[in-house]
Amino acid sequence: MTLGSYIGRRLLMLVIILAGVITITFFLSRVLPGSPVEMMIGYRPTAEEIEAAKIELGLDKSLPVQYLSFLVDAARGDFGKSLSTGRPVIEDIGQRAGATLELTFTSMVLVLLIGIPLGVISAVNREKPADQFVRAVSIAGAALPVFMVGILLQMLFEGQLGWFPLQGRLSSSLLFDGSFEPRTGLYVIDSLIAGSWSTFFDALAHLVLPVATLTLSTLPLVTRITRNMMMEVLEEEYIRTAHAYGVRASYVHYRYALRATLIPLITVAGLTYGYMLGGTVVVEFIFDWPGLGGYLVRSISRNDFPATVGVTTVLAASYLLINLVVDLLYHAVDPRLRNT
Amino acid sequence: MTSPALDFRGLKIDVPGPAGPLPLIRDVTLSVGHGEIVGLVGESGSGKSLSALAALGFAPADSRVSGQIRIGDFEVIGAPADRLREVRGRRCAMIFQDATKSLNPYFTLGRQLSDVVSLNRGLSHRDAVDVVTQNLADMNLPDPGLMVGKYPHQLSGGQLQRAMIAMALSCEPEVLLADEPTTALDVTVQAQILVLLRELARQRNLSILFITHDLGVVAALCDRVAVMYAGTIVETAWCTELFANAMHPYTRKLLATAPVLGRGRATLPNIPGRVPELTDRRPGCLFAPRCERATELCREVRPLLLSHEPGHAAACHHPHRIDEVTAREDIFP
Repeated sequence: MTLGSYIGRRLLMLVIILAGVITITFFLSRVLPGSPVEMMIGYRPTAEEIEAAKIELGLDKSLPVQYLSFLVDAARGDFGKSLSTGRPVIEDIGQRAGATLELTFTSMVLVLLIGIPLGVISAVNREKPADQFVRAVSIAGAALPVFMVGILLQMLFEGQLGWFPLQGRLSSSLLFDGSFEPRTGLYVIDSLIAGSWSTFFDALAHLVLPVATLTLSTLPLVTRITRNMMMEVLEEEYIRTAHAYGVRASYVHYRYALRATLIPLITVAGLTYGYMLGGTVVVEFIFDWPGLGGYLVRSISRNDFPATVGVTTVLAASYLLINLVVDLLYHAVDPRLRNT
Repeated sequence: MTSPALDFRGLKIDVPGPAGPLPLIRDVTLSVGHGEIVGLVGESGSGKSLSALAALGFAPADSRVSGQIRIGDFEVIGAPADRLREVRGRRCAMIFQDATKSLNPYFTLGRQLSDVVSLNRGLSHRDAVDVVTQNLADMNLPDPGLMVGKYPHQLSGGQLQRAMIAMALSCEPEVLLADEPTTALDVTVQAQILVLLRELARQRNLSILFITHDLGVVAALCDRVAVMYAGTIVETAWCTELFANAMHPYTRKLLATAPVLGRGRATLPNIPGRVPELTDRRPGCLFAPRCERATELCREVRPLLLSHEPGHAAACHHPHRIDEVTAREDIFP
């Protein structure tokens, strides 16, 4: 199979999976209790008002018809108008994607930079104090739910120490004095482009706690997987061969075994991103981070059908795309899959 | 007499079990002289590979190793990891059974082999690659210059096995441990490799412990043979002597199980009974339950490996005698 046809097949799969995601979220959002109509119109509406709202939202038509017209629009990238903001969902998403990207990307980098070395140290020092410490901490970390970590960090670093701001992306003074203009949506970068150090440090300070929460909640997963994969590699016969030929243990571990661990770990990075998307929904809500996760939570609680389905689809698409890239990367670096 | 190149004395390896230690190796006493090729034969699980690995200081996790293993004047058992590196590869190299699993799939052949050479012989990477290329050429591998840039999965089993042997020889060791190096190869390649090993033993005074279950290979290659059963050496002898006058009843049966051309498939013999379990704590001879010569003595007292003839030792209370001609039909009535 050529690389071209492999990518083609994967892209086709991606479209099919996305159609499935859209279908499931479309119907799930419909079976949730409550109706957007109540949200749209005021207190004690008349029957005529309800009817008018239903027609405006397209809810007067039968469910299959609604579904089909939604599918056709979605294929064009049009998820309709958000019922709560009144703007096209895709615009809302565009405005918030930067915030989520900043949060997840930073956390992802930290998780990989910290988690992989920890897992490797743990595996190499199997059953020794270093390993037991790493394992104890990661089990404790995995046992704490994300929201709990977030709230504890808020209590400690804002409540007790006052080191970092409680929530948001920027201090309101900076946000509303009109001097700051987001371009990329990544405030840390935007502030650098603007050349404003005070904004940069403010954005950075706001980033610390949410990133720490998301990192801490994902770290145990990556550490454990790395440890297990590395331990499996250390049992391989080719590792014994290297030892049998007098190669230094550190060289065997950090050259031979590490490469054999890192290559399959690439695929884990893709899965970690999915895990992180789940976490970001909670983290954004706790830290009032104006990203897609918080937007999704609010959309669901307000029965905002178009926004719910739109955000879910975009998040699912990003997950699928990242995993496609990761798999291609894996093919590029594993010598056994290269040229095949 | 000078000390042998490789010497096992009373090697025992135990692993902890639910009801006391389980003996993986019960008693291995064996020596390989300089330039000598010794075959180590026995059924799967008799402890052949384990003994060879122990000579490089490898033992299963949690196991307890006792006895003595010397490579020249180096005492392996009890040596700390950094001292073991002095012998591993440099003085004693091992050719592993499955070359496809024993070479790292993520590195090119040249990289793996040159790493070993440059580490063990203090050569620069460039010089090491030259040495490796020459070694691969010595193994009759075509296009060695191309071969160093290949990954293991791009080569055949035979090519990998020869690369593995090239890697072992590149360190210029005194002792070579060969764990069924030809089992996975086709007969013509096997013959080439056997001839090569023989030449090396002669030219470089290389001592070889050759593990196999193929008695034909032993006959073609080895000077002496040691037979293993249930973690114990039960007989050692000169190769020709063993094939002509095996003393231990197990050896006789093992020899008789080798398929003979022209005898037909209907009579493929096997040894009745089963290899004793690790949990078997009987005091007597471990082969007694499968041996028709066994007496009360055999069931109560474990026989020691004793010389019955010059250069011919057997651990048996009732060894077959040289003058005792035994037809195949007597062994498998």
